[in-house]
Amino acid sequence: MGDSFISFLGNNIVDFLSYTGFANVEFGNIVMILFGFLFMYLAVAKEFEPMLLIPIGFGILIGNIPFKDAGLELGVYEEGSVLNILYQGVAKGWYPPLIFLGIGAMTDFSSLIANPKLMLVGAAAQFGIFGAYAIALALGFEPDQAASIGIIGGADGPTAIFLSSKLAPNLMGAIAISAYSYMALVPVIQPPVMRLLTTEKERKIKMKAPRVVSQTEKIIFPIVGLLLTCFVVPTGLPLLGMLFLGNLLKESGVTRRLADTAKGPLIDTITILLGTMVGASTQAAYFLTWDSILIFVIGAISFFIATASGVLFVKLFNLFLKDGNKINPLIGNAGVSAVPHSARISQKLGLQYDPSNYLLMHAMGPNVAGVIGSAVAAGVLLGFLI
Amino acid sequence: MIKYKIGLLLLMSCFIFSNIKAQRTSDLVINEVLVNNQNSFMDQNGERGAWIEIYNKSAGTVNIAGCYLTLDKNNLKQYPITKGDARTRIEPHQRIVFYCNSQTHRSVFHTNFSLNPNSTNSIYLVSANGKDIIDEVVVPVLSPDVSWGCQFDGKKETRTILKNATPSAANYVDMGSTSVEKFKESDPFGIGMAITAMSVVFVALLCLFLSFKIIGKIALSLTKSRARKAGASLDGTDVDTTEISGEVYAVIAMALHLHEEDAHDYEDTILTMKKVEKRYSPWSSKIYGLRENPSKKN
Repeated sequence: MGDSFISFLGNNIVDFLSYTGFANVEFGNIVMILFGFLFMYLAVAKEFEPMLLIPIGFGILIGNIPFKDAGLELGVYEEGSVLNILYQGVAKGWYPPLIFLGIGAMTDFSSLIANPKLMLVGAAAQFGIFGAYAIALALGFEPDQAASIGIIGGADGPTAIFLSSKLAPNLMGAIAISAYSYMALVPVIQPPVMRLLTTEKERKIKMKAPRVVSQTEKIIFPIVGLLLTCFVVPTGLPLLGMLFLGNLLKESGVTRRLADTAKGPLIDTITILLGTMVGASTQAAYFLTWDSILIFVIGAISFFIATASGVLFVKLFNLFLKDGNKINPLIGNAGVSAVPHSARISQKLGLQYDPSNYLLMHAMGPNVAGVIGSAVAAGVLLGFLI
Repeated sequence: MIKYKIGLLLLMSCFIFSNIKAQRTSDLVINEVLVNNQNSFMDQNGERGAWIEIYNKSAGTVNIAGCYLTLDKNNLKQYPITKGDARTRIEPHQRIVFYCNSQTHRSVFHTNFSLNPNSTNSIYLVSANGKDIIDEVVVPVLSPDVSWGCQFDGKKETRTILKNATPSAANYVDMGSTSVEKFKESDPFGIGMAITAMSVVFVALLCLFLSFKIIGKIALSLTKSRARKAGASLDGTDVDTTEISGEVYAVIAMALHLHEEDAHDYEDTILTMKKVEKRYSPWSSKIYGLRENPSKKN
């Protein structure tokens, strides 16, 4: 009796131990957990995109706690698990349009409406996407995978997640992490490129203050914007539709409560879920691959190309503009749609070279145009490759 | 209140109409018919017989239950497709098959009529109201195991003889390469994609640019005309905004931000006329609250 009871207890303990994380841990899990720590460190100590890196970093921990593969319905990739249900918003691509609704509700397009030629700067910066697409193809990725990797150059996390969920779901974790990481690293990536491609004189160009934009123009913008862009690229409808809807809620002046919800509680909720689930989707077995490393490398290159193409386009554009109407090329980087970080960089750099040159409001034009541009580019890629 | 009711009514009507669209049986098509089944497919009972394939050409699920199948235009309710079987819901771009063997006891998918292989057969799919014909097809006399149907699923204008009967499967399978493969073959370096896609991005944003250039001009002229009507002077006495330095804008923006965010350097003291009541309670009573000092008793 005594012996059998003790052996029963012993077996139970052994059985229990086999279910613990310690018994199932693999080297990859440890590496990924360290990545999670790094993300959280960058968020807390360096304040790099804390709103995103904290949920992503913690999500990495959640996704990499090892457990016994015994059909417990725990993991992100196990159908029916709670995490899998939350992950559907990422996998099926319905979190990104909701994020866009919030972005629309918090974006002021007036600088763009006041100076619509800045839209072309936003378009030019999308060249980063297609530069990265070509590089990814050269490195052996399939066209649909290459397009998903290329969209990192659009510097728009939700757009990257949306496109990769449709074209290359298996690479989505690496793409999302890469996109958000580089968005956080925009202050490190962009200034050297901007300095390299501009002269001292160009950096000191003072731009005309934008004109006052009427309420009617602000209301017309999302409606016309939706009709024009989505008639050209209907595949961009989920993102652009929600972006412009959010903006109309803001500008109509009669739906303040809806706009407040979209840019407040709703976007916060979706950001938490999106960030955590993107982090949790980086289970070592799926994430620690050679492809992920390549994606990170291509992602970095795409940011450099996007910044350079934005700056160079402004320089080219200036050749056709009269004196007094010239654009400061330091706002070219803002076409990379990491709102508002890239615009802030224009402001910061502008002030370095001329303490009375405030570029922020000018840079916000290409910055928000970049959001529209990257969503259009995603729609084009989706239309071609799905 | 009236506005609220109107809004609610509009919302409800949107909901109802969207629901109707989602359940639109008019998207159903008689996709394929096999009348003379000698060596072709068998039903689940292992029997060969005539069958009718119905295809849902819409992007939403359609429930065919409640509709009718008939061979007689004067009797549109010949075979009612009864409700209660979940399989009558046809997924988007999917199909279901009805076996025409007059054996309705087997399931809802067995009709109460049979098809005649020796004559033409007119088949009608009738809507749930029993009046409107959703689709009709006249099947000529065909060789055994040859079906009649849409060459491309759901496209009525492509109805023809189909040499290979394909119940519950696509009538035409495109064996050509996918768009990804085409891009891989034709554009291995991504240059074509870059040129095409960047052109589309530029065109989309150029359209926006041109539209808002025009809208901006109209808005400016409207503002000026309004100002003129209001008696404001516009000939050189306007404030020249180019002369205002960036610092001024920055200061104004900061002041507005602080105002909007209701940020204070100090909190306002609140003055009130409200009487502060102090009700008696033994808990706050000084009598009960005070402890008696220990004293020496004689």
